[in-house]
Amino acid sequence: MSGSVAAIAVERLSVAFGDRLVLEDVSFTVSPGALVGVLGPNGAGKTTLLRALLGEVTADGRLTLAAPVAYVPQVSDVQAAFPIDAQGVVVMGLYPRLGWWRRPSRDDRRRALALLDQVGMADRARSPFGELSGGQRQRVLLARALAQEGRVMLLDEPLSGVDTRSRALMLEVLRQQCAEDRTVLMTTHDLAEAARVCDRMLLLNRRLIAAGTTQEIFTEEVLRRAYGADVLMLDGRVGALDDPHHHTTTERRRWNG
Amino acid sequence: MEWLTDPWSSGIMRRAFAEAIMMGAVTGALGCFVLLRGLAFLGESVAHTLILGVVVAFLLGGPVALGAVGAAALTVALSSALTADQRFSVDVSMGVLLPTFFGLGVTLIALSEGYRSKLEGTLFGAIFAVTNLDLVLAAAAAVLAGATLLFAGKELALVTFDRSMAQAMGYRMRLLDLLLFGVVTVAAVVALRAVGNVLLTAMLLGPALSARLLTRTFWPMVASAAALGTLAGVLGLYWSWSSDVGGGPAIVLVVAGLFAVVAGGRAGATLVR
Repeated sequence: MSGSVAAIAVERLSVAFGDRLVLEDVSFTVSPGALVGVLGPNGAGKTTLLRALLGEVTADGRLTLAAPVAYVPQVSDVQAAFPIDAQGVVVMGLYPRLGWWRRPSRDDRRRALALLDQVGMADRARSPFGELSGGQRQRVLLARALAQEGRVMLLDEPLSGVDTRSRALMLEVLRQQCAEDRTVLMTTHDLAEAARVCDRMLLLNRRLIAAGTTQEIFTEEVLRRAYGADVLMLDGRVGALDDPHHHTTTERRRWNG
Repeated sequence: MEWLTDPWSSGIMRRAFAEAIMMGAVTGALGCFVLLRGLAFLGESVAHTLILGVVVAFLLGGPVALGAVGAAALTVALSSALTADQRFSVDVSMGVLLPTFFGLGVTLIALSEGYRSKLEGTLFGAIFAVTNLDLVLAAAAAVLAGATLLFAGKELALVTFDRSMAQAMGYRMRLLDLLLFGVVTVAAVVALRAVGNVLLTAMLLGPALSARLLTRTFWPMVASAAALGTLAGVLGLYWSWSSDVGGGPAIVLVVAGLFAVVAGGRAGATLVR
């Protein structure tokens, strides 16, 4: 961590739903410009951590975030049957700045189009959101988050179920954001992907198991503490067995050399 | 052309037209939110809880519309109190209030004199009996709905499209929900007078469904639904004027007919392509 002020500081965060403790005593800091992956098995509290950072769930502990915060929800949370085109979705990212009463202007729509261009979706600006593929929808939601111009960007499973081209484009955009000193925190259950793209990782399983760089996290011992016995190590590459799709890609990569 | 202008010479018909036009526009526009948020149950519940207010107004000899407004306010207040406890969703609170109010209302009707006609008016509307006060209330509902859409339309659309994003942006969900349920309730009060309890859901959902098929983005959908609701109101009254069909049922049948035409047209277009 550099000596500068942290973009995200979490101190002794705990979240309970009823009697069930979903997050327990989680503490970490993230410095500006970092691309951080939040990892952990299903039910580890990854999404809950994001919701706590957004202030959507009641949490114990101290949270400090550089404002404003941009957000990309899971694509499945969005009502795809709603009649709206891609450009209209991106314009929604500007609503808080517009305030009540005011309708989006021509400039706002132009700005949205430029952001769609950044994620390679300018040619689909007028397409109904519901007619786009999963990867395209995710890119549109990313463009909407860009419109929020957050110092911190939180993304919930942005890479799951996304095609290769969308994935590459989105990662490029996220790295660009980090280069501009914005902080990106995304949840993922794809260990290999996280290892490739993230500067730092938070490994969660209700408690924070470990935080650090790939080298620090990706040891069999640390991963077993999060995933139990379901960890697979091949030539220094790692997979978790709760994700069968990932398992096969890791193996294939191995056979290809 | 006399058939076109004749109905407008009667005071009763002029009031009915005014009521139908305002009701059609308001229920059509707000119905888009009801449809897209999957709140069909809300419209139905509101209609059924309002019956209590209507009956009480009948019994006390006061204006029916005021009774409905009172019941609506009571519904919103009680539902809001119930949903303050996180374990009760709006659906659940309505599920509790609906049978209670409806049961009370029907019991009171059964105890009163002239039971049949009152029940008919409540269930199927009495658009040819609207008073000037009803029209004032309808106009107030239209102004309220318009102001709400102008002031918070894009926020309400955002909540409909992506609730978790709206929440993350810091919008107060309970406030926006209450605002929407509030205006829908007021619209229901107006529609109750025109088409009655049983047919109200058709006024909320029918024009919105047709408009959804005709448009690709939200605000054109809202505008089309308002236009279709108005058209159905006017055509339904012409039909009722020239036949024995009641006003409320005629309007609702035109709504259904318009939907059949739109859906059929689209299916046909797909086949040709």
